[in-house]
Amino acid sequence: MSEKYQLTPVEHELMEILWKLGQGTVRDVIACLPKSRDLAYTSVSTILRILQQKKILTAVKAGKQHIYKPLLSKDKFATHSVKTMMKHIFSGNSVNMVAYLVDKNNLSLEEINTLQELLESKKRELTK
Amino acid sequence: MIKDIFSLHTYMIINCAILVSYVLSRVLFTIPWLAQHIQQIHKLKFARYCLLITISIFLLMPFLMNIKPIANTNIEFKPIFQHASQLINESQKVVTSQINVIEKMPTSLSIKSIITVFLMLGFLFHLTNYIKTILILNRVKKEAFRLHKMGNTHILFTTMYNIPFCWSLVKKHYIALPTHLAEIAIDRKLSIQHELQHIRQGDTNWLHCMQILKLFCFWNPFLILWMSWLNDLQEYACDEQIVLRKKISPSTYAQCIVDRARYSLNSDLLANRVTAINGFSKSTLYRRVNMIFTYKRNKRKLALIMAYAISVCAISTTAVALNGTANSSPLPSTKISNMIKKSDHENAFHIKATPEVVAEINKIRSDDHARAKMLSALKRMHQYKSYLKDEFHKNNMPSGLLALPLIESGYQSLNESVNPMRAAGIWQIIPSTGEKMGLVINDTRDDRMNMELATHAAIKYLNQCYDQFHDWKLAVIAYEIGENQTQKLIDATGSRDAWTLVNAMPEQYRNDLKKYITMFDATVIIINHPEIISA
Repeated sequence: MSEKYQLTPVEHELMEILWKLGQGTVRDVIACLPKSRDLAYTSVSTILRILQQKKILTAVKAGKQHIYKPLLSKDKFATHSVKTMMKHIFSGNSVNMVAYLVDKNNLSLEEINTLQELLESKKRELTK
Repeated sequence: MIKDIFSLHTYMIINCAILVSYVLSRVLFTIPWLAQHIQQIHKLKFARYCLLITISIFLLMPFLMNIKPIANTNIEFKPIFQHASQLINESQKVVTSQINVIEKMPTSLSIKSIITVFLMLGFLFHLTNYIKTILILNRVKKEAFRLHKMGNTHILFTTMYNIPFCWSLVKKHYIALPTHLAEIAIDRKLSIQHELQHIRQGDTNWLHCMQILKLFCFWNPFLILWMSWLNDLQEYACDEQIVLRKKISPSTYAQCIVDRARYSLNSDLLANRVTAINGFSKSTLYRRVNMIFTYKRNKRKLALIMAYAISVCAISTTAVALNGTANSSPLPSTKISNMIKKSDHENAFHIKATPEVVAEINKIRSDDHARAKMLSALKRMHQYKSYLKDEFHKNNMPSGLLALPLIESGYQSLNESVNPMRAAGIWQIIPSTGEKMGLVINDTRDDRMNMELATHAAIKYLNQCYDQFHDWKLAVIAYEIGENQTQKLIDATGSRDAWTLVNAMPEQYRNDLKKYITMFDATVIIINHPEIISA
């Protein structure tokens, strides 16, 4: 996965809206922004056009407007982001990362049980 | 001509022009009345004009001076010229003596080659930097996201730098904005306006010019000062133009500048010294923000006209002072001796760098009138030079005899009424000698005014004198005082040395002959080295 899938905070914010909507125009995206977020029409349009050039979005012309549709799925983006974090912070070691998450987060007993079940099922898959 | 242009002299003149133009324009703007009444955009244009016009005038002045040499020695500016030239000559003498000392030091490298190597290395270093910068800008262009295209101007978003900047390459202009500006609409708009104004003012193209000048004059601290000052003026002019459009409040604009400066703190842009990028320095930022609130549309043109008028006068005066007095520095006798040694022509006349000859040459160099007279005589000599040289060659005569008509008549075909001895023509032949050499001289015809006939007669007479004395210097003396008088002097003194003969002359004629020989020797040297009076 290339560097271009890295998103700035504001790009991520707009992508979250488009992932939720499936597709949308600049006005649709602005309508979904919280009222406290002061982002001008031209700003949203500029950011969406940058995302389009990054090949994260695709644009279809509909009358005077453009309808933007994500090319990058949220799942793919999440995988990429976690892998990048693992590579940069945990030297690519997933055990270290899980250990860190388990150690530093105050997990409830229920959460620990869920994790354990997940690990057990993975274990069974491997020993089959 | 080409050799004259691409010489070390030209190089020094350009460096000198950079210094003079910087000092002049900075000094002019310290006058409060001028500083207050001239808009920043006009200050910028004026500063650029000063730099360009100074370099042009400094380079052209030697040619202009040659076209019309100053004939009037009593011009009012003369004391200023002398004062200026004295200052320059003194420092020149110090530098020359220092270079002489260094050159005599036992080392395998001469000072000239050390300087050449230093200049070449500096040139290559700065050329590499310049090319590197262009490559970086190309990478920015390649990796950036394109937003708009307005004519030849492209607006890009880049992740490489945190500060807006612009540059131009072969008629195309680029404005690069950091991606974080995408979400701040007002700052984005102002940044684009600001960078567009830079392009409109020609700042990006000027940066290329200054960088090219820097390749050659990188060691000149005044060029660095120029670049930094122009950079400041460009920013002030930009700010002023945007504020004066009154589409944005000064406080919003100031806030935008401060915000961009804050972002730029994290950027490595300034350390990279990327061309065409207008960075921020703390003091410039402080001044810019302060000035944003003071800009006014000022329509008073008198201040601007005054500034241009003063600068034209000052630059021309300095150029004339530097050029017009360049010849006034006295040439040392050692230098003249070296010139004589290098030239074969003078051997026939036993020319030496005697104090009289050295003084005569330096008098011609420093006296504008004498210099102009000599230059015009040399110019006239060129019409006859090839013909006379051929004739001398045919008769086995030294070409140094070209000096003879020059001191006799200045190569002017003078009528006999001008001379008390009734001498006439370029060779100033007196009637009795002319008739002896077969020339027809009567009321209706005077062969002395015919250049070819007069030359043949003069050559015949000079050869007769040479046959008698077997020495060209004695032949020249005989040409002036007659062969009989010359023979008498030789007999009386028992010497064949020209200067001994001069001292043996009767007192009333002694000074005239002394002056004649001195002029002849000096003229032979000048004919062979015209650069000593025309440089």
